[in-house]
Amino acid sequence: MKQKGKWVEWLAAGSLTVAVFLFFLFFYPYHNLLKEQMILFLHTQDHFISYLEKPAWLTGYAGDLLTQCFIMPAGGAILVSLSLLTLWLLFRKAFRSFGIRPIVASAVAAIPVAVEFLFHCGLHYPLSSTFSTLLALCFFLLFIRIRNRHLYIWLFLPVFALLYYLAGHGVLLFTLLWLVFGLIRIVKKRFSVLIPALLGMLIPLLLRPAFLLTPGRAYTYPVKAPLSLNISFTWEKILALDYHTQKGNWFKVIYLAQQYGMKNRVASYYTNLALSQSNLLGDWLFLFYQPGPGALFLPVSQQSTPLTIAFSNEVFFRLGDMNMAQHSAMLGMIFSQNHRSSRLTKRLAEIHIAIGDAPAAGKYLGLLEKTLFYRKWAREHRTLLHATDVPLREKIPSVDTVRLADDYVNALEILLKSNPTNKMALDYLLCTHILRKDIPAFRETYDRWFVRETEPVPGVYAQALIVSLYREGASDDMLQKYGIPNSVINHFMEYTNAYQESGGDPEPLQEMYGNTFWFYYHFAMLQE
Amino acid sequence: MKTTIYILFICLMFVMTSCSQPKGVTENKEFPPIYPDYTEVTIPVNIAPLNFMVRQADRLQVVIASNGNTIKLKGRSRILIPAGKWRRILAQASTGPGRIRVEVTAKEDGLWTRYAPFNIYITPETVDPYLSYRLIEPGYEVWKSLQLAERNVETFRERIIADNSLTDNSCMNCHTYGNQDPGLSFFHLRGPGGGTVLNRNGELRKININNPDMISPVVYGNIHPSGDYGVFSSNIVLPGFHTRKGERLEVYDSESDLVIVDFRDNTVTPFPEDFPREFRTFPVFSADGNTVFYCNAPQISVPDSIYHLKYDLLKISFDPASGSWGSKADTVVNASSLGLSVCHPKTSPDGKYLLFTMADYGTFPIWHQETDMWLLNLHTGEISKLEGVNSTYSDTYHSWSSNSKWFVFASKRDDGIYGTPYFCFIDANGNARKPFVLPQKDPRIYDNTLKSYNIPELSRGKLPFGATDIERIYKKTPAENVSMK
Repeated sequence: MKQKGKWVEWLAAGSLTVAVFLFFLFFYPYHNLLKEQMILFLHTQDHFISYLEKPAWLTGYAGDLLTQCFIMPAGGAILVSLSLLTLWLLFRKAFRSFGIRPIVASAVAAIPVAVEFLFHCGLHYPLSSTFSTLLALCFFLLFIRIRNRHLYIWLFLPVFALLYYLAGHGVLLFTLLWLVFGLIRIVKKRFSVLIPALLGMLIPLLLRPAFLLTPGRAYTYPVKAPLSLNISFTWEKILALDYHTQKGNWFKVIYLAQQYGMKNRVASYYTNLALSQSNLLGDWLFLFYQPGPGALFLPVSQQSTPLTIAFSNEVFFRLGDMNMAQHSAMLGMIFSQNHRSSRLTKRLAEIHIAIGDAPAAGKYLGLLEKTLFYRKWAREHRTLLHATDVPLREKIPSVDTVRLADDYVNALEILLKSNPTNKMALDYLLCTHILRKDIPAFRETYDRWFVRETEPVPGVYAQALIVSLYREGASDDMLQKYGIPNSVINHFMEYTNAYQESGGDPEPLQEMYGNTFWFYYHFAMLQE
Repeated sequence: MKTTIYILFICLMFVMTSCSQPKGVTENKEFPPIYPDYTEVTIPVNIAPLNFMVRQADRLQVVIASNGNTIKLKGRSRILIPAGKWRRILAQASTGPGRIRVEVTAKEDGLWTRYAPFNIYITPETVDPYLSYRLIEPGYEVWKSLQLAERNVETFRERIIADNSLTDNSCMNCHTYGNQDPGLSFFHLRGPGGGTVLNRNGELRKININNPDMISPVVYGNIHPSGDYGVFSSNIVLPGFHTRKGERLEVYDSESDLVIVDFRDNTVTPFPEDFPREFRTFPVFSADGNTVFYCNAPQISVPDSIYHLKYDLLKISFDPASGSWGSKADTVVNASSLGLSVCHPKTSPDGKYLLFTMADYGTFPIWHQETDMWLLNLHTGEISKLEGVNSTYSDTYHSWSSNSKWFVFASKRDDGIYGTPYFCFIDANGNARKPFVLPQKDPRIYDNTLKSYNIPELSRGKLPFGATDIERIYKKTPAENVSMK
């Protein structure tokens, strides 16, 4: 019977481990992929030494070392699932040491593991934190082998200090377990364990000036806020769009955006970028949710979140607006968890290669050459340091002006003035005006930059054009001159009638015209 | 068994000796490609070992020699010089030939190369032993992690004197000494608990140098030699972005003016009203404290006319007895007539020189690649561009050593983005020697860091406060207020 119970426990633990592995591999891989991108782990002596300057150096170093393996979805899934399994085993053993029955210990041990699992589903939770908990449990399980009551008490403070330096916040769990075990198994006088425990809790406070930590951080290191305790499939979907954008899988991004149907600004940002790279922005803009002109750019400001800052360079980079791309990549790195990011270092290297700034590009490539998984990429890109035919370089403006960070219209116009063939800049400028419902600006830009002879008028542009032409009472010849298809003209007439019949109610128009500029123009509430 | 051990020992010795002497060495008449570039530089006798590396090398053998003394060193790609031996050889060289000779033999791609030996010139004139700087990622518009650090340049010891993670992530501006005196310094701490932190021999005060009659809280400043006054600029600073490649961030003032602050009674004396409304910034006292040098430009519309924004260097008298401004300003350097713009004037403590930078335009030269340092001899009025010191990237944010023989400046010469502190010697004839970067225990640090060493400032001694003192004053000490005179 006892043997059977053990088998059931192991079977449950094994099944759950496999389930966690499959969850992170197939249903939730992008959070782990992002975590890898937001660290820059250098295999250098000074990088190692930098961990020694803070508590939790061992678990921090080990956690970040292994977080590099999150670059592969399976790497993240294996490491997290095995860490959680180990955590369960150690918690179970710790609870059993209190005299709890095995089956109960197993069940209770699952609770902190479940919490840890939920933490790992967050955007910022580091593997090093789990390692801190693991090391704390190991220390506790070793400690309870001490049967001498005096040693149990007197060794606590030195071990606490050591563990704090090795595992940071792990000391909280260690102290709790030590206290409970001491009260249950070792001593009769409570104060003999309570006093060392209280003194131990002062150690992080006493050491915090040396580690330059606030009182709060001194007890939670290496974890940084914000933490979440929920599974966010919204973020997982956004991160999927982000990941495939980085890979240049544009049709995959569009496909996923269609599947997800998200009403989210960041999702729209990636969708619009993918549409522009697939030359579909002018046709398919309103097939997707558009919250306003903010769906084209992510701002870099003090109101932005660290992640949106990190994402914001994607559009600037592909537009050829390299100074803004550099600025947002640099700030993305500054705001990342450790103020270093492999993804953004790569981007900074690409930006400076595009600019033709070999010393700066060399700096970032040099850093990447000291990593495990980006070394090859960096060495390959060194050959481009002095290359002349670098993609994107022709898009970079040759004229100079000083503009504000959020003056996107000015920036796009400068890009177009320098390179009128910059199709993405033109699409983004036209769509900025469309999403702002600024018909005169759209028309002016269209007339100035859109080359009508070489391509048909994209659907959304035709819809905006007809509004402009209709307002000025343009003739049929004029409509023909602009190449507006008859189908669009007829559709517009139908919409106008339907709009008048509806008396300004969007409901009856939604199904038929919900994907048109006209519907957006009349009913969309702009979000800046 | 004994014989076997003996034979193995002989073989081991043979292998070791054969490894120690490179074979098939080719001679190269050029200086070795060492980083940092310490070839033919002039250094003070009290500087920390100039550890260096050859990035592409698999093995290095280095001989440092002076006056019959030699240090032989080996390394894989970097050379770490023992501090004791370094100090001894420098002490001997400074009293003897005045130089040390360094010979580098490097194994690169399996081949040994002996490079032309180079000299390092040693001066007995010491540089101030402490250096403070701000460690910041070069973003400027937004910040997250900022630290003010103090480094002992005679050793490799670095200490954090302020950390913004302890002050609610508030911005903190660079630390500035008065007379290179560690007992007299200030920096601005922003945020709700902020103010100008004034250090007088370790006693810290927090003063909110702002008033509705001022343009803004004070920004750039300098302390009077007496320690009683500070002269500051009050600026509305705006960032903008260039569009052309190579140009980056532009930071400009939409308004700026000067004030004198009397630290004894916390009174503020604005710049005389009978002067025209112009941009005035970067004020510094002369060595005797009777003059204020500052940068001045006519008010124009910015950023549209930013390329025409050219600052001249002006001076105005200051009366320390009454704490009042003079009534007449004179032009010291008419930079605008040269098509240039002056920034960051700094007078040498002996009153002989004024070091400043010039860029093509504007007031934020750190991102202007063309920014160079110039030296004005205040006795003769002669101005010279420090050709052998400047690089193709921005060289600015300088500070004098207390003996006026050395200055330190921030240069972006390595990669154009990250500033590092360089030291430069001015000889008796006013000639500047080839500068050298602050030595590090591990020379790879500059390759691996993502921080700029912002506004390096020299000091005669160690600062009497630390990061927790700053945390305390930020969180617990209420700021003193100022009143307008």
